[in-house]
Amino acid sequence: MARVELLTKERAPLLARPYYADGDPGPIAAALANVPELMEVALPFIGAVFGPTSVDPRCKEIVILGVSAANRCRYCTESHSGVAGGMGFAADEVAAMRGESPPPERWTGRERAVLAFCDAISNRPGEAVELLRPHFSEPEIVELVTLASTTVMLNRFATALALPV
Amino acid sequence: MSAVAGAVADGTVGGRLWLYANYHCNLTCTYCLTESAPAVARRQLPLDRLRETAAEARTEGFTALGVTGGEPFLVPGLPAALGAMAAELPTVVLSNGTLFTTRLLGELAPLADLPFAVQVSLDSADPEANDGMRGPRNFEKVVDAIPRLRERGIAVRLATTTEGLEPDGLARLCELHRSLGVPDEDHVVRPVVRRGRALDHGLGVEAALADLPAELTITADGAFWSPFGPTVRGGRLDTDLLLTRTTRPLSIPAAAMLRVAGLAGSRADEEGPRIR
Repeated sequence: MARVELLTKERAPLLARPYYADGDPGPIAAALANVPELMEVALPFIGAVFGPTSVDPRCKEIVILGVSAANRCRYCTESHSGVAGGMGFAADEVAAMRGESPPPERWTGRERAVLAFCDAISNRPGEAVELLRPHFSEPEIVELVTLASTTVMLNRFATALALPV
Repeated sequence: MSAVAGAVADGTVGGRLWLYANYHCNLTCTYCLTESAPAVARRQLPLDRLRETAAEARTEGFTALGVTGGEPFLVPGLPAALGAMAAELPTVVLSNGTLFTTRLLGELAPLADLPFAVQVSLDSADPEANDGMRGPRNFEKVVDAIPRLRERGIAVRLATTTEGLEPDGLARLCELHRSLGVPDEDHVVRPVVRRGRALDHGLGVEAALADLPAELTITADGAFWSPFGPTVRGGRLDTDLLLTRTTRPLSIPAAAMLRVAGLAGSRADEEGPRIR
């Protein structure tokens, strides 16, 4: 059970209502709706960071799931295990991203670097960028760091509020 | 001209900024929107916040202030704060009219020269009918208070909240308020709104966003679209008409109200439809 009220459509504040137009907006939005002025800037930001950008979706999902597992966020790890499966990641790949097994032999050096980056930015952030540098441009590095940092923020948000999976 | 002043001038939003001074009350009315009663959470706005918000309201472009509750006069020191507010903008305070002791009337006397009025509630010319909704001896206290306020130069308005007053009942009520010195233009008759305790009693009319004029309302819990917004049911604050939790600076909820009113682009445009 969440530690704060997850607002239903009937109780959604005015600025939050558009996010309920298609039904249940999910626990993150339903919790953020308690402070609508933060919700209306946070959700578009999260959408921009997690949505289509210059870095390929596969690398981005490795970051989201890898960082969530490294930060032991149950909500994000479980929900993004499903997302990753839906994107076509195999079971052994999902297990690697969850930190349950080494990455598959077939993974490229770029993918391995991204997974190593997830652990580093969670535990040794000063060392994280150098892992990416051989494989990514500086704008891509900035994007991946933004994605990982936003994921950490959501990890803390979901864990602190005990959002239900 | 500020954005708020422009919106007020063209009638898109109301000029009056409302403030909930508190939520507790010495009465327990059957239709109360806020479930106010003696023992409820006070949710009180500090007096200095009332003064500061009044000054901000004038700067933002609002044209009048309203103070409501709960029963605002349960808040010690309120008259001085009302005086400071009325020095900024014309101010009306809503009251159940039962607390006007000689001492309180003395505290209010300095406000006689300011653009200030007390709006007292009275729901029927029939004491039994009125007191059945509002509490024992309410009629007697209100009828006693109105002339005493007026004697001290305080403008008095009368508000009647009704489920449907018969023409004869309304005529008798108007006869009464005229006899107390309250002219017809200062008598407000409004329906019970089906929120708060009225919902529990099956009273009143439904009121959604489209039914309620935009009148920014500040409470201890945040800013709302209308004074009919920050209602309470089962002890829990309703959030469906919440604008922002942030109330200071006033520009933040004011801007949110204008966005909802469609006067400026909503940041949620890309995520879904606009509210109106």
